[in-house]
Amino acid sequence: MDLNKYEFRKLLLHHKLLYLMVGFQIVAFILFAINDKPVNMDIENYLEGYTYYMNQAEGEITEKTSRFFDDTSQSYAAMESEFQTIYQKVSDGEITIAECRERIEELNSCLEKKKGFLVLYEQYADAKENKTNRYLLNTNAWDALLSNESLDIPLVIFIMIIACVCFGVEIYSEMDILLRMSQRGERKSGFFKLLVVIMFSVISMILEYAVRIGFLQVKYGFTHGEYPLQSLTFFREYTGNVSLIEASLGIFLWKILGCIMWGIITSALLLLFRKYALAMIVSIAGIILPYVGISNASIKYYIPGPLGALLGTGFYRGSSFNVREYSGEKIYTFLQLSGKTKAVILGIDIFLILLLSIYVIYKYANCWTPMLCFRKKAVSCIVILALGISTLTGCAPKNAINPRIFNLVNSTNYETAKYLLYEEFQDEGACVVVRDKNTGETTELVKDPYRENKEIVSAFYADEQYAYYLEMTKDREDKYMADDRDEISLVRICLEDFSTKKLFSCSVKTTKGDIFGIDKRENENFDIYSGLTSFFVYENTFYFVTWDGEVYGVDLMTGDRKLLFTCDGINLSFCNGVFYYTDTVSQLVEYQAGTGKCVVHEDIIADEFIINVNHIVYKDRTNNNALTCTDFEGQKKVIICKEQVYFCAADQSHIYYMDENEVLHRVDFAGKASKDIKASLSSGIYVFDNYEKIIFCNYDGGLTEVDK
Amino acid sequence: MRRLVYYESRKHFLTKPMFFMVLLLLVVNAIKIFDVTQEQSPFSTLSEHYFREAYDKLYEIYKGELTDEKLEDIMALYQPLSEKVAGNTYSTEAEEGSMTYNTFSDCLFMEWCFMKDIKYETGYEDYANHVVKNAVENVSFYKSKNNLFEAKANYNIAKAFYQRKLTSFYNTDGFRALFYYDFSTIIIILLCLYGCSSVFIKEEETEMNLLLKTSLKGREASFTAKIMSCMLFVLFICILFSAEDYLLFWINFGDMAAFLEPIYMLEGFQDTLLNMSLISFYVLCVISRLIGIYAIAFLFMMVSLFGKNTLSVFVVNIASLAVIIGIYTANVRGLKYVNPLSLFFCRKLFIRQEFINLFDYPVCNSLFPYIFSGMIMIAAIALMSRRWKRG
Repeated sequence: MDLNKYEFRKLLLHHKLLYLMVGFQIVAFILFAINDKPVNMDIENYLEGYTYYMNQAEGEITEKTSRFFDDTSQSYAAMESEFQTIYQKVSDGEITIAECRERIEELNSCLEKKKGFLVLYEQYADAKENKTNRYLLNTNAWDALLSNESLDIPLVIFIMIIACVCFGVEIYSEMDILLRMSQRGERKSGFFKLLVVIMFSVISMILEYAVRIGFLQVKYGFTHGEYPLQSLTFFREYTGNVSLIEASLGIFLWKILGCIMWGIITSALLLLFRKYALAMIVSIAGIILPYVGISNASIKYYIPGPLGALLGTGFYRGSSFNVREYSGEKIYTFLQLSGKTKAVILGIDIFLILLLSIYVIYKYANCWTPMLCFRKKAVSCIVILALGISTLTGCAPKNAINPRIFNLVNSTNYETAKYLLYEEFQDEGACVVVRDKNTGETTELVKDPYRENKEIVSAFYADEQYAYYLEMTKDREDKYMADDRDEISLVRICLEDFSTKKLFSCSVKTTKGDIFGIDKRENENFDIYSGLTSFFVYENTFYFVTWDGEVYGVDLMTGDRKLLFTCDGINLSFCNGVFYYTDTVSQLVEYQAGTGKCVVHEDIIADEFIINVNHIVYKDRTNNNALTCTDFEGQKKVIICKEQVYFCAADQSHIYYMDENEVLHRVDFAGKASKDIKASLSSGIYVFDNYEKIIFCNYDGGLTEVDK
Repeated sequence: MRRLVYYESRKHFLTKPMFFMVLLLLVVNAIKIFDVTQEQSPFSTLSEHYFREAYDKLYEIYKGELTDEKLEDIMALYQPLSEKVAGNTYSTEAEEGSMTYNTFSDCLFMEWCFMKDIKYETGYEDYANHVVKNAVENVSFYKSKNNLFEAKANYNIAKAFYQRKLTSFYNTDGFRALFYYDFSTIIIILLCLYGCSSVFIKEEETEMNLLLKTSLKGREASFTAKIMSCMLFVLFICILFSAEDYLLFWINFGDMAAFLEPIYMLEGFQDTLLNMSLISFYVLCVISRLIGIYAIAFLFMMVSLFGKNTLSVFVVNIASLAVIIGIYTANVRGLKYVNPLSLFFCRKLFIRQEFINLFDYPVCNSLFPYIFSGMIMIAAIALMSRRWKRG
């Protein structure tokens, strides 16, 4: 027993196994924490509403749940229709503004949860297909723990290091021969060392898993372990009867078996070859080459060995297939393993463990082997390489300080000191035109020679020095699958010399895998970017709006994307770092882009609005959608027009609006009308801040200019 | 010197374990290529064999130069099929006289296996002319704005795309699978890791390094011999596996008759500025892979020289490999061109090339990984020789 204590002390302190263990745990935890992204991003974005409804609907889908979903959908529909008419009633004078406010408060607190309800409804529609097995619960925590098929490479390498430290150091210092001649040196010592290897590999795995579970519990929170496994999308086709806790325990036990097998295999290889390099290379090749090379994921589990056991999750997956486009054939991407197969694999694994343990103990027996003389070195050094990065810039950037105003409804024309940029409609389609204010010559904004083969998104943006547009490129990796999307990029054009630079790209392929094509998962980027309607760039961040109202901010340095808030997708403005939008009950909200603070203007109730530097022009819902102009405190309301207005724009001194008679009226901010211009509903109207003319661009082609 | 190099190779590389490992990995590579063929080839499942027969019959007639006659023939075959299917009156029963199962499957088969390629090829000349026209317009526009860099860049694009056209129809599945095949890269990296990590550390462990430096040719000559033997080994491994890849893909896919066709015959490569044939692009891929693996091999050798102990050298090498792969996957803008790993994925460098402004002269961005790998190699050799001479 004392001798075992000495053995322990030697391994932990003198060979520094304890420090290695602590270092490994820290490194593994940091890597996991950095790479962890929620599998279902929408749940995190709308967590409040989602949790509120999940608390009422979680569990098995019964009659009651179906009725709950139907009732809630109907009540939302009723709330929407009530909300549509409530301001009309105020305009007609049926209810007072105070009663309206009360009702608005109640409606708002319900309608804010609607997005969360829609996310839950998607989950419900998916689970309805198999009511016995798929329960409703918040899946993000369980998904982060279970829904992947990646090999834990730091753990694999660490167990290899444990085996090398336990067995290899003595082989290299030639002390093993001397030790084996001692009394308990033969079988007992070998058996004890093997036990130490197994114990340390299992302990490091358990510690890593425990830290991981703790981290996920804090980040998401595990709930309802007793629900069936098929509630998670990754395991949904599985035809067995296990709960989440049972499955995670099963996967955990398989991983422990894999760790034990891997520790014994590396020890056996080390004792066979008696050289670090060869043993390590053979063991690494033996686990990484099948991991990367075997394309059909289920074969990795059919072969008994450490790879299948260390991956673990495939034992609980169901069969899934892709359909080949032209022949309709099912190509199976994963075949489920039956219970018998699993039992056979388990049996073979245990038999392999016994066999290899006997081999290790046998090899660690008393015999003479000719070896060259090595001496143990005490210090190991680590080399750190630093690579220099040089960045080459094209157009020299200047600081843009002018308060640039972005209005979503008027985001098809911009003005700079020298140019006008607007969207012109021609026979081939719409294109963005850059026009010199002095000379009047026009040129297209997009100058890319390859533009026939790329999809140029129709949104664009321009500030004082640069213009921006988005393009999507194509690639064809698999000729027989229909997907040919590659990347979406933001291109910046310097307005001095028109040089181009790509600022940011993001992959929008359907599935995104690792560098060598393993662990393929759904790529959610395409869904988000395909809904993009408009964007702008401010202070190194790229903000864009999708058609269902989600506003995202992407940091151009790091590429991080964050959901800022959700609006209605039609009315959004931005000026000097502050967003303006209408919330679910049409109140104007100011949102600070940096801090996220919201200020609600309860007295500005707008159906549509645009902003200027000091004023906001909006259709007042409490006054029959009359066009009203006010400053930002809500005082000094001036009613501009009481009839239906189809277009509205503002420059520094005047407001321009078009009524149903197709006449464009010019008014100042006090409401005094000054000019009437003949316009048309079937053309785009571009009003610029400093340019003295208004441009009318016909949708069928053709351009006219009229003095302001 | 030659004898020294031979002795060094015998010490580290011409050993029995290495020989068996190379043999085993050749077999593993062959198995993987066979598996890839099954996956990528269009007729791999058993029930699709009648597709294969029909395909072989048609392919014999239409391969080679696309003359007007052949185009008319194939359109005459395809047109009635697509009209019948468009009317949604097809049945799912087997039909007599159809090439594959029935009219609907005939139409799909012709579309995916022939018409898409032929449409792409006949339309390519138009596309190339559009690109030339856009580029030439840009040249005059940028000259008027005094932007010399963009003018020269567009001039280069116009020159590259001038009078490009595709005239023959061949089956390019084999080449496409070959260019997207990455498994032999992993094998080469692993072999390099094993071979290069132990070059200098063996001397340190046997304590022969002190003795070596006192001998006649011990200082410079043996250092150069070690480096050269390592480089020869890496060259041999790289060429061996690349040749095996090409040979096996040729055998498996049956027909690599398209090897003299230009690279833009593959549909993903239509924007490339290279005007070389498929076989020369493969040679370029092999050379890029070689330069990349040299950069990584020199890094491994440098760690091996500075290390004290095989285990730590090995662990540091694996960790630095993981760091390089991690940096590449993290996809930070600009860092990709510094990483020698991007030389292994040669297709991604040349699928779409951009120009970087270097004193008003357009430099293609695919050059940068080569330059940086060369710099890494030179820096590694300088550091190593200083350390060797000092110690």
